[in-house]
Amino acid sequence: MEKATLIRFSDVSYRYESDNETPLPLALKNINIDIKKGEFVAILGHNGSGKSTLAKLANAILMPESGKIYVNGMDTSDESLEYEIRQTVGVVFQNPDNQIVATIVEEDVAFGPENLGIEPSEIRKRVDEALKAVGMYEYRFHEPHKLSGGQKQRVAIAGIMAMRTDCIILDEPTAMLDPKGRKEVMAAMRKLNKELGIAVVLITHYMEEAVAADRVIVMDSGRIVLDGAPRDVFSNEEIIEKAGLELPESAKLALLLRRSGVNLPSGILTAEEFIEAFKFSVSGGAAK
Amino acid sequence: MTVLEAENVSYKYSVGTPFQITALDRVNVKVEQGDMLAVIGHTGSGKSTLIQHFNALLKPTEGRILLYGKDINESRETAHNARFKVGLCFQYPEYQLFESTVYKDISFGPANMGLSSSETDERVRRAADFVGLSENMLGKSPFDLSGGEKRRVAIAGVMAMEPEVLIMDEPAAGLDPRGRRSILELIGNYRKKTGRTVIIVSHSMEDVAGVAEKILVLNRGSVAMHGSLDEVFSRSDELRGMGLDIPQITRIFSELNKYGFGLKKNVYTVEQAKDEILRYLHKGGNAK
Ligand SMILES: Nc1ncnc2c1ncn2[C@@H]1O[C@H](COP(=O)(O)OP(=O)(O)OP(=O)(O)O)[C@@H](O)[C@H]1O
Ligand SMILES: Nc1ncnc2c1ncn2[C@@H]1O[C@H](COP(=O)(O)OP(=O)(O)OP(=O)(O)O)[C@@H](O)[C@H]1O
Ligand SMILES: [Mg+2]
Ligand SMILES: [Mg+2]
Repeated sequence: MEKATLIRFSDVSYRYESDNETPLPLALKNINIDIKKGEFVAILGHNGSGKSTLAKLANAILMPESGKIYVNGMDTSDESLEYEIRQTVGVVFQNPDNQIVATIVEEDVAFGPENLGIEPSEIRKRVDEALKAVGMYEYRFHEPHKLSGGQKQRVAIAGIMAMRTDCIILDEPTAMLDPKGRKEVMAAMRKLNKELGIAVVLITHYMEEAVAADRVIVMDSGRIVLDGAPRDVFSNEEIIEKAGLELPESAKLALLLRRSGVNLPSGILTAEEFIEAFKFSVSGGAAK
Repeated sequence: MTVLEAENVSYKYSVGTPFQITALDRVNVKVEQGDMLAVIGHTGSGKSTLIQHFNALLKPTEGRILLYGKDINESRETAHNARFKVGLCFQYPEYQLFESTVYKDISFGPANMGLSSSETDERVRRAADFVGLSENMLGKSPFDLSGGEKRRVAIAGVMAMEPEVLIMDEPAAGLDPRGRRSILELIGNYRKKTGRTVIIVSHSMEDVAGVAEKILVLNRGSVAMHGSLDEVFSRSDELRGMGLDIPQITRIFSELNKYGFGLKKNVYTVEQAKDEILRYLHKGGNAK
């Protein structure tokens, strides 16, 4: 069965307002996307390619200049639906500072679910779970604005996890996290996706995180230039390169070696795949 | 010659409240002239707190910070001078950007150093060009930029001061892969060309491996390691125990060696890995 569409961008263009007579160029140009229920999608693109703008449009913070956006069938330009739309799509924005709403960590995390009218005992449970999942439970009584960069980021992620909206959009959630934190957040998102069927849209500059998604969308100067499974997307080396991106480290190494005549198969994306292929090709396989 | 020294430095936040936290605990570190040092450590380990001591933004609760052997907090004047000698780029560029245009923001530092307006202008344009900001961005408000663009402005502002010690808190976070590479190259070149001292804070072991020559590891407010890349990255289990890791490529090599390949262990970047594998294959290296 075809999965139902959760977010639809239909020929959407967007332009920020200029503070003088000359209009700014379009930040997004004729965007068409369908995000389905339960999908795990990564969005890649150079700085200024329009990723955050896309997130703000999906959450009805910005309205398209032309085209339409539907969240669960609701038109985002209909102001009366704003509340319901934000109950369906939750966003963690790029700078966690702008999202702190309370003076105590656990109240900050509880704010979203409270707004959804969820029952207090259930909120309690979700807040504790979310704070544990991001490793911030021991900071639950602290003041959020007095945390380190990565700690603030973790609290913002916990906040959105506790809401359990049908779709979660995370704008570079792991940018300030240590290697362990990055893995923990990815695992927590996977879990929400697998166990609760929550659609996850992950905006990231880490190619390795994109490889772990089911689907990858690549933006370049306000347009979508690639959209597909990670393996297909990363096989377009030229488009990836032109878009200011790179292949994941393992893929880069495999490509360099292949170009130097080492017999490795194409399509290697992860460390595990590299190790398997290398063992085969060098010890038992076709090489020399 | 020692440029900066933390002498038994402790720092406590929120002293006298229930949330008093010892962010730095008797830290002793010497930074030598011309060092290219990376500071790594888990979320909340004290990295940002430490580097804010290096330009007298924070004053140790106990202990001293010495700049060229002299107590940086000896008088208001020494503290003030330190801000120009030691250029610090914050973890979140939003903390640093406040002028009405990008141009004014980048020129703030050099103009305040008493440089002529033509010299300031030259430095602003050079720095903007270095970090990949186009001419037409200079008139924009720094608040109307994407996340990665803001970071470039913040970096340009500090570079334009041409400080004796350049300190950057997560300079590559939020940058796209190409931007990441060019900013790291820029930072490396600054050191190479001027022989000045550079300190970066980073959560990316790959970035650290690509640019740094020494690593300082903080763990729960204390110095856990301080040494060359080889010294630090050879202690992978300890690093993992602290929420950190070794570069992806190094991990692949250590896995391959478990299968009996005799590859060098101290390989950290994709380029080094390619060379090492080709060398290995060339001399007829085989498994077992
Ligand atoms: N408030 C604003 N006013 C005017 N222009 C803006 C504003 N916010 C963003 N822009 C511009 O719109 C374009 C898209 O920005 P957006 O923030 O969507 O990029 P992004 O892909 O999220 O980039 P990054 O990776 O740097 O976060 C950029 O050219 C940016 O300069
Ligand atoms: N303004 C503040 N008030 C109170 N405590 C603070 C403040 N800033 C930081 N802390 C605490 O001090 C400790 C060290 O924070 P610091 O910002 O130095 O960490 P960090 O290593 O830079 O972390 P990150 O990688 O997340 O940026 C943390 O436990 C943090 O919660
Ligand atoms: Mg963005
Ligand atoms: Mg920090």
